Amino acid sequence: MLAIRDLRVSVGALELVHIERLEIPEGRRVGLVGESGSGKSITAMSIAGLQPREARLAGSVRFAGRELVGLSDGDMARVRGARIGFIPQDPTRALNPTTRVGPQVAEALRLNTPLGRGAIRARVLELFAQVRLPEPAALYHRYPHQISGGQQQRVLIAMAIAARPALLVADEPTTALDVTVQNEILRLILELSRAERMAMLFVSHELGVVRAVCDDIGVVYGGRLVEFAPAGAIAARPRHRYTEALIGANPGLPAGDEIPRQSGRRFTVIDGSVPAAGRFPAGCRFRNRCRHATAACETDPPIAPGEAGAWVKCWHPVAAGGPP
Amino acid sequence: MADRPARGTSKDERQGMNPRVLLVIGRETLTLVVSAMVGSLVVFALLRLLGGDVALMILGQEAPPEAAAAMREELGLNRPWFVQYLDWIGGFFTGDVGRSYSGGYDIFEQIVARLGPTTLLAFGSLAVSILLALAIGTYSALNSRNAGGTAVDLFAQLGIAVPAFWAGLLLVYLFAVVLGWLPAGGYVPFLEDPLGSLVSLVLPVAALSLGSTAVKTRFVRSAMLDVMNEDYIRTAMAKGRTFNAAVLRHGLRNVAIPVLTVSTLQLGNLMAGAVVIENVFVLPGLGRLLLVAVQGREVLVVQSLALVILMIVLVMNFVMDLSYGLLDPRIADRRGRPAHG
Repeated sequence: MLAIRDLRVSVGALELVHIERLEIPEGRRVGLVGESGSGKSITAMSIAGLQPREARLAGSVRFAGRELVGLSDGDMARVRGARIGFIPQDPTRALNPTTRVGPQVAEALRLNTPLGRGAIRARVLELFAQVRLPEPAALYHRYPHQISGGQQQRVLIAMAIAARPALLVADEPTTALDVTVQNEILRLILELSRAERMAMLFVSHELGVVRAVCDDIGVVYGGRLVEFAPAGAIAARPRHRYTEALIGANPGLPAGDEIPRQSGRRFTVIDGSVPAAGRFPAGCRFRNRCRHATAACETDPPIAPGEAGAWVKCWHPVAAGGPP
Repeated sequence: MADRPARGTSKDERQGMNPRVLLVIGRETLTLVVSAMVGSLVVFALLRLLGGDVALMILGQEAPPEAAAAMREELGLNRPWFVQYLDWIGGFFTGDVGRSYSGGYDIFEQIVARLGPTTLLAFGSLAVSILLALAIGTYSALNSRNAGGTAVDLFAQLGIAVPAFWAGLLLVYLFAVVLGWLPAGGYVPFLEDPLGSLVSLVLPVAALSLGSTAVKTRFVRSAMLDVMNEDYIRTAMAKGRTFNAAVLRHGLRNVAIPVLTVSTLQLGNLMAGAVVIENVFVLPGLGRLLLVAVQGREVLVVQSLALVILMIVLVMNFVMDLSYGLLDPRIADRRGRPAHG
């Protein structure tokens, strides 16, 4: 349903993101995982037409048979909300502070459905109940600052699914929330995407979270998608050297069996730090931090297909079938 | 951070008028009354501290001491200061502030008669400058990257640099002398001929609001450029709005809040400008009376006018503070909260 080919997002001469390929079939949940600054959020926002104003898109994003790259803001606005829903990163900043929350959700329905005033109000209350907000009728009249961060995110989720979009784009939807609330929100998003049969692009810096929510996972480094595989496969058998290092650096996430779960668990550190945008080496972008890099890595690695639609973009991948 | 509803009951909020709002109104009213009392004392004290004998000012420096003493007795100047103060303030409620020493007119009557043009001029200029600044500043911000926005910015900068009286003279020359579209001066009372009254105020209001509009326009522009980067603008776009529609729908109200703050700070300047503009356009307002009274050294008239102008500023301030609280629900919550809560 969504197919990306060579999507490039740039600001001026600086190319922030170059995603060679990414597919989201109908009803499937795809996760993008990467460090902060890897370009995963920009990618997600660009798909929804919400990229920063100074950013320029090139390449192709086909959504339900329609090319989105190059659409005017007006045409893209008709896709946003109606066909693509968006859940933002920081709910405490994403609601208009001067407007009550009910009418803010009602606006989404007014823009994307033919419903009348009364029906819209009823539907908002229904949505509030669906995202499990307490006392929907009372909450309708609250201002954003009068409800908790978790409730604000529920309101935003209600807004995103209001018009029953085919694709839900969630940009780190739990990062800004209390740990206790995070799980509830994740479960809610997962449940809604199942119930409404929405495809989803889910962005997070936590592999564990993405693995719990998504069917497929793409790993982003330096604005490139470097590996793509079914969720179960990627943690058990990472192929890209960056994915391998990422899992190794994550003590809470067992990769295979080699990391003990008990105290004193071992984890490795990725050498160096993520370069600033535009400072990545030519060829494989990870090669200056990679322990397996050779001269071959100075040229951009091709996409090497694996099993079940998986692929990796690496000259020296971990051998298929298990870590060496 | 449990997912439980916050304080306040739904019923109050459904009616749009909750106890918090009433509390805000109460508080602002109290502030207004206290400020007025302190302000009137300061005005009264300042003119006393200037020194000089009012009786001698009226009779001339060569007047015999007995005549001066009689004059002081007649004017009540030998009474204790607080009696004089209360008598003066009381006059505003009973409609008897006294008479002009040299002009012989009734001060209260004159003030009432001249209140119309001045309030129309001041409130009109305030409203015009806020609305214009919001419109022009928003346009300029939305077009910040092309020629339209830059041109607006340039004009705004010019507007700041031009003093009100000079702008007034230029406007009179262009629209009254060259084009003959508008009267060069004079005033038609609003109640007699509302339309004619507004026409007679177009040029004065334009001249008076020019500078403050320019300042506010630049302010709106920069506030709007900030708002454009807010997450809630992106949320509005995610709902299906274009960028421009999202900014107009969700940005304007958020920008109006800081603009009101700036406008409040400009109120003093606005009234000072009104005095000048009334004299440029020969409007029979308080400013003209003030100028004449200062030239004639009419202490009582000047003192009374100062108080009236102070009251106009305080009332405008009151109105703005109220709308401020109504525009931003967060402020209403904060100010309306009882001190112990």
